[in-house]
Amino acid sequence: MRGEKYEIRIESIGGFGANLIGKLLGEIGAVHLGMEAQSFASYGSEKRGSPVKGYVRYSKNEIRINAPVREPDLLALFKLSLAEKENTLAGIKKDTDVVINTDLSFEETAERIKLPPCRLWILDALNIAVECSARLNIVMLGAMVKASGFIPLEFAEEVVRSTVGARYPDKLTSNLMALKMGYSRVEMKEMNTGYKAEKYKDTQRDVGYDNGTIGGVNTIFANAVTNDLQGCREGFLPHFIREKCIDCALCDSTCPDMVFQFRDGVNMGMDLYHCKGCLRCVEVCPTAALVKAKEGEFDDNIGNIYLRDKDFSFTEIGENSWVDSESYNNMT
Amino acid sequence: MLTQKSEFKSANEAVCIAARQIDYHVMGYYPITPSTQIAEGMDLMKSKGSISTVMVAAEGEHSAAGICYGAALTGARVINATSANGLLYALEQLPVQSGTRFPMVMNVACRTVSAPLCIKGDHSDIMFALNTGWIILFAKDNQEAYDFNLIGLRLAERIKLPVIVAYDGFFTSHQKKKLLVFENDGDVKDYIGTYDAPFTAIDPDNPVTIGSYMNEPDIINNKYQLRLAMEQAKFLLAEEFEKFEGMSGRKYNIVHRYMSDDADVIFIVLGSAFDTTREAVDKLRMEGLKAGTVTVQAIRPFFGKEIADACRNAGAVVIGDRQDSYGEGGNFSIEIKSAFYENDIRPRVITRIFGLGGKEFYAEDAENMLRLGFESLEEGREIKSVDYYGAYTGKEIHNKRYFEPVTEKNSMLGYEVTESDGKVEVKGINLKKAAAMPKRLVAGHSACSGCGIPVNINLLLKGIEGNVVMLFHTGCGMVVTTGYPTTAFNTNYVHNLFQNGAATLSGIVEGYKERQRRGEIPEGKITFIMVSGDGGMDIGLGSALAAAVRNHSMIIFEYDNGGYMNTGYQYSYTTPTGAKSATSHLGPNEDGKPYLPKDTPALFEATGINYIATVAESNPQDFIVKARKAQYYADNYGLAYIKAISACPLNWQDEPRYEREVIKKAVESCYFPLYEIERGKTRLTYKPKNKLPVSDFLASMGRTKHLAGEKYSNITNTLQQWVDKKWDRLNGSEG
Repeated sequence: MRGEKYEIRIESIGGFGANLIGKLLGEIGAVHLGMEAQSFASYGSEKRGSPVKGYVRYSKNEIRINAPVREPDLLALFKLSLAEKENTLAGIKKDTDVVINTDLSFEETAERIKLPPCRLWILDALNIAVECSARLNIVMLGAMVKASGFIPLEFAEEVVRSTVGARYPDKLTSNLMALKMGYSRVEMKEMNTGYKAEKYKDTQRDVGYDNGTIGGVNTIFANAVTNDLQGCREGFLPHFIREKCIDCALCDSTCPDMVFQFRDGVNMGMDLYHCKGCLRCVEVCPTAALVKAKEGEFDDNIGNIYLRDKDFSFTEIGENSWVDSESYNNMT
Repeated sequence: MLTQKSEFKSANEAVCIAARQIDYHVMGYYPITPSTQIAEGMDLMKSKGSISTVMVAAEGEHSAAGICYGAALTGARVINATSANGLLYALEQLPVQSGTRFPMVMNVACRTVSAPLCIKGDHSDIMFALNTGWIILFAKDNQEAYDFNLIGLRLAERIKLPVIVAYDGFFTSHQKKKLLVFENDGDVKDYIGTYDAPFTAIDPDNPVTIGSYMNEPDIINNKYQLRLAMEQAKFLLAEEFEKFEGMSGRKYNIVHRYMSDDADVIFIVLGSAFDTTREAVDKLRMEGLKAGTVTVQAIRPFFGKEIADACRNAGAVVIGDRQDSYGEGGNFSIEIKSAFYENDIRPRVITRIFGLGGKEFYAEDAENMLRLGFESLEEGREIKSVDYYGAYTGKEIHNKRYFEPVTEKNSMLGYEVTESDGKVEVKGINLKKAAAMPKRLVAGHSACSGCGIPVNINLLLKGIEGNVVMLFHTGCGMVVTTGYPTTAFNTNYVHNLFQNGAATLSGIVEGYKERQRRGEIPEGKITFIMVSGDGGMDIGLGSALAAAVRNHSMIIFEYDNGGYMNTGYQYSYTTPTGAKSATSHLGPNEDGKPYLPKDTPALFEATGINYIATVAESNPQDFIVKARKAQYYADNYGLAYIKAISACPLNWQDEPRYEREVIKKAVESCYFPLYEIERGKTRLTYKPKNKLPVSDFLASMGRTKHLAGEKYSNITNTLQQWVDKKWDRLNGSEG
């Protein structure tokens, strides 16, 4: 630890288990490093698939702040595409250690997300997790511990034992392996890109007390359609083969996200900006006109959106739609 | 001093530790964010056998308060936890508890009061409790939350008044930090001792009447007793703090001062913002500005003199209110100003309402507020005495129109509905045709991947032709569709809290009809639909059944996913017996959800309404037909009730992709039989060829798959018998 305090921010998607990592890092600080520590997450209702932020603070003195970490010493991205969201890369300093789960190279990663100068650590955490039959979050913990430069791996092993080990004893070995692999596989390079770091900004909308309708009444009906929900997908989505389709509309009866566009009884295709990749439609399709595809496997996947309206400007849903620290699934 | 150990816990978790050490007799509760973790944590401890507290999940906070009150009347030690609207719903019961002088402890993780609905933290809930006669301790951090739960119980029992321990929702309730707890539970037991209630409702040899009917001239004396008790509480709290210091080494002075003795400007603020303000004070002191900050550890009784004394040397006092009384500032600052007058000090006072709805509070914000105080001391500076901090005007917005609204112009698909011999027939509906129905709930909502709620709402609305007004109860369906400034509804929509949706929609229906009758609005038809989860059909059941008895022209649609999913899955009254949930764990002392699911359609049947149906997405055509039928009944005969079983991949713990299969198993096992009751006549609309054992359905969900094992066979058998009995009854009453 360089100074009196050390701050960590985790950028993740609900369901990836980032909250557990925040909690474990907090415990490492409080219990094993003997410091003052704090850990919490961005809060909202309990939804899966939306962006979530985790915050951890260590300090040699009393911690008196309870607001988000704006200038992290350690920043972890559990998913590369999160970088497109406001505030994900905010507050990066030259000596910030940025740990990213990606299968791209250092340069490709930095270029893709317009990364400001920092110490970049990368690893293909998803593949390592698959390799170890463990969860991605534990791989990321290993990498973060390494990147911190001062948290001993043994402490991370200990907290994994006392949490994962206590709940799922049969999964302990594989997760300890994942932790070690994350620790040893992550690589660092100092990046001197030309991109400028942005400041962390609290959300402020265009609508305020002067122009907002009284009583919070919303008169812009159905404007939720401008939300881009692709970030909720976990790597898969349906692929539509028009030739095989018999227009039975079973897909439309099972899709929670109104993705299917029927005109005069004909299935015109999919609005994939709103597809969360649940694959319910693949399951009910009687003619295999809908099949499971990997994200990016078919170039035309996204094109169908213009079935609806060319003029939509899509905005990502905010972290407000996410999660609490200790939802049922984190607890049990 | 007693031995203590360090823990890394949130305030909610810290409260659980205190509750374990106390080992309360009874907890009556109803889950509400952000206080729910207390009931969850205690249930987990219960399942492991580390507490023996009886955990009663009420159907709403009003009843939870009733359960607590009843238990307190037996001399039992009682705990509750709530927030926001939960506190307000329980409010009626609070003066009952204090007015009859029965102690208990209730934790309030403070949160914004609806409407608009917001789940995050501020003090708009707790200030409603000021006039209830409860002692209110306010913890600024996790440590105080733990300590005040112990001190509060002793205080409550000494003074015979109930105690609230309040702290900031999320900021304190959820943030994990280090704190010290007593290492030996025995030490806590010694500290709290045993409670010997002066009166109980259960001593046959000493009969008492609790809750006298009392008018003038007696009531004023009764209230005076309460006032005296509050006065006495001031001394007893000081005493208890001193005693506690001896045990813990932690000194509480009621008024917590930081650098305030010589300060020119003092910022007074409640809760977690106090610590943040200390950062700002340090910074301003470095600049040579004499800043200070003050907070209090109790707001009832109110320590006005002590607060005034802390401010005696200040030229200006800025008071931060995380709540507004919508007049002259928040209640906290109104009371402080009155205390200044009472105690003869006249600093310049500036009130700033800040941090509403969980808005972050940074050290810069505290600094800005303190600087306001310094500015107010400059000659000729005018500073508004009461104002908001952090509200903004907004920028120019260009509102686009994305769709045509769905009205009778574009949603009449030509379904054929006929009535003869007391039976309604619907023809001309198939999935392909129904795909032409424009979506009244549009894409872009933020439900979890694979969620059953939008699927069910869409299937319902595919059957409804014409103009629709929707009213949603609080729940996932509401939260994921209407997050400001967006809405997924392409039709009129109203939310109300889930005790009261059916009543509200009744009012809408009658207002609409009457305005039409008076010729104020054009003739025409609207179908009014209330949508509720099974949670809303627990807490709001009374309101819904009453609306059914009154037989308003409306549809009540229930999506039943068997749990309070929006708050992180606590069990509901329709959760399968034996299911795991955050409030029904598996452990040596607990076997999941304790009792049989509630048969809600049977309750509606007893109201005598003309149409009741159960639907499932596995039978989509049947679903849409029943929706259209319900619409016909709502138009012509009054209230119709439809219930769907609705998948929740997150908390059913299964794959989003296979949800329709899981639902199908619920139907094929007759766990969720498909039928309708039309004018009192029951008709099964789907009879499985081979009725599956209920364990097939249970095995397909992570939350119940343990029930398929040998260990829980008695629970599965009980459920199977419940299913069979219901199926036989439905079969028998057919025709």
